[in-house]
Amino acid sequence: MSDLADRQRALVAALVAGEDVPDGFDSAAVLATTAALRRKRAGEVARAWPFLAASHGAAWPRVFAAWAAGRPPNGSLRDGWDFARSLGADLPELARPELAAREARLVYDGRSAPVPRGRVGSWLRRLRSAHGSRAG
Amino acid sequence: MAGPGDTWGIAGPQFLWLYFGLAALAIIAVLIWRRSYTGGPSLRQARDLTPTQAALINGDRRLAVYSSLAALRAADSIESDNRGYLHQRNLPPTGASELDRAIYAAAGRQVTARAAQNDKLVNDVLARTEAELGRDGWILTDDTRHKVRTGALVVWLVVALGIARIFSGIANDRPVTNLILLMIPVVLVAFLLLRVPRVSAAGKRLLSRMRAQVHHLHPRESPAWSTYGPAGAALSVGLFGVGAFWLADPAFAQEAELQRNVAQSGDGYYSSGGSDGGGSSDSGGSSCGGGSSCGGGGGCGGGGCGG
Amino acid sequence: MTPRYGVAIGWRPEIAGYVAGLPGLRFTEVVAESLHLHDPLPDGLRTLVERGVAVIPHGVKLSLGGAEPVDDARAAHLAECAAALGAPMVSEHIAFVRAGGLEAGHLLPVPRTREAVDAIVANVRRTQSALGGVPLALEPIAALFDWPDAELTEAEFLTEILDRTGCELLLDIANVYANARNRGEDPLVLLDALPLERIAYVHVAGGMEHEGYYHDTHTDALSEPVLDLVKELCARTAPPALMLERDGDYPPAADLTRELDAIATAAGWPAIT
Repeated sequence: MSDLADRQRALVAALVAGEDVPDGFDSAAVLATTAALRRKRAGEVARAWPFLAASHGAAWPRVFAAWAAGRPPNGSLRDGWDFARSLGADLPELARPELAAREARLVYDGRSAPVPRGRVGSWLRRLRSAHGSRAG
Repeated sequence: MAGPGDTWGIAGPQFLWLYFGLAALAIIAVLIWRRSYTGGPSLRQARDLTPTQAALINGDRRLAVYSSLAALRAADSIESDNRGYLHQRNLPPTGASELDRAIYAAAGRQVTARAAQNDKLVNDVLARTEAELGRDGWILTDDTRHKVRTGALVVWLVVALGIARIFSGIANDRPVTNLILLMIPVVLVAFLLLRVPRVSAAGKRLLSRMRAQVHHLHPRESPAWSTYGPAGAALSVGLFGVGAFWLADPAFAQEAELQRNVAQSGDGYYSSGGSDGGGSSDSGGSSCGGGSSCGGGGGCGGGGCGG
Repeated sequence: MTPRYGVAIGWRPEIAGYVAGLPGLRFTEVVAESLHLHDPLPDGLRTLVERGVAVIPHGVKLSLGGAEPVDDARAAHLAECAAALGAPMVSEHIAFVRAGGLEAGHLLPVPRTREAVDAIVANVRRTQSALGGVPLALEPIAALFDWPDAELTEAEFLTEILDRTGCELLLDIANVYANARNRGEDPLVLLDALPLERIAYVHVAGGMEHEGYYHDTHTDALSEPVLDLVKELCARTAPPALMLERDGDYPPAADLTRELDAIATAAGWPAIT
């Protein structure tokens, strides 16, 4: 049974973590699956982060897939969040309020699932980001 | 029993009671009179609102323009360039409303979304629709609102009476504290009565009824404009606000510089694309979150069910 | 001959209004992981349940084909969905989606070995006990590649699993087409080998060709070959329901209606539109 577990892990690692395709598999087909997987992931993140995706226009699947290569999925909420944060100052204007709203409502340390903020914390965060955007 | 030195010849406590009664009467009378204007018609015979009508009741002329823009976008009839000017792209959709067609025509004349509202033809349609809604009682026309506001005068007269009594009382060296305390709520109500809503009570109820009927068009559901068509898109924006537009067509919304008063429903619009807390990470094996139809493209597709 | 449920379409919030408007709809399916049971059911779903439409929760993340035992919480969630919907059955996939702490984010094929059969059967039994008697239907998936050491054919593998678990089959006709096409085989040969008498219901979906592979995307229109397969299937057996699966890139309502009607025609069933 553990042999099956190991082999399954090796396959998943090849598909999402950029590791080598295990022996015996059709490399071309596995690679095609990897590409399909990234497209699908981009679509899911777009659903969870519509403004982030729209701000990249038609280039979204390509841009996200490039960032996601070698990064195993953590679910569309975290994936989009990590991607948005990774852009830093390059985050397009259209996507900023969306990220700010989520940062205000949830606490996300980049390592585990985001957790809702308390009401006071959320309100303070919103004040801070509103002030920041007026000043900025 | 009036005593010597009583202000105006009426004893303090007696006046308080009289004043209380007078104020109550005045306020109740004004409220009843007000309601006859702000109540609106019965909903029983009311037909469903068109998207333009819904937008005018829910918001303002700008929202009505946005709802038509939504229809035109859903039909791919217009686009925006990066300076915010609208352009015609294809023919307007069949069944386009009067406002849709007016805005489409304006788009052929170098307008921005903002300026479209003031285009002559567009303005005519908006004014006419607003007037109809006012006549039917779903919204209150400026005239009506002015009239209703003036009705509050009656209560202000009562306030004036109280103020006169206070000054007289002070001049007579009589205590006025109780009267001042009694007047506080009266003054508050007098101020509140100066505020007249734009929408009649019936209009609000009609909006609620429609929203319940088409809850699938709420932005939280990420309604597919391509499936529901131009009328659905227009209704989604008209009933649920400009946030619906931003969520469905953010690229156009940004280019056309649509107003972003998402304060209408808090930041809920930004969160509607994904659930909070749980995320869609597979922590603790709870349901997946992160997207209304999650679990991958809403199922196992988008790259194939394992393919 | 009237089918048990007839032509159907998968429920998605994006097209909930369209689904609710189908006069002849008696069956639909919702992704189990999209239901958050601490909230009330989405309005559109609740209306369908009240109308007497059968709503089947369809799991996508249980990873029944994984070597790791299925998570009790996920199995319990699937059971709770069934209870909340009053569902006559639930469904999941013969696939795995995670291994060694890594999420694949997608349904992946399992090796067609006896070892894998044992693993799946164990997971299915675990899930069945959480389901407390609600029947479970299993869906084989489409994959662009196979594992290198197959001991059984796809049909044998599937039959073995169904025999040992007592589950019914959720046949995805588009997957049959995709697998056959990508292996260069005749889809009818595969169809004939499958245990058609155990079909609980059927998925019908569109896909597209990309760089030499046929991808079962669920975001494209139905193609003629898939509709032909529907016709062939209905010539061989009487499935209870034929459900159109559309997950994104939703077309105009008229197109969806056309596809539902096309399925009805291919099956010789009444239209539900």
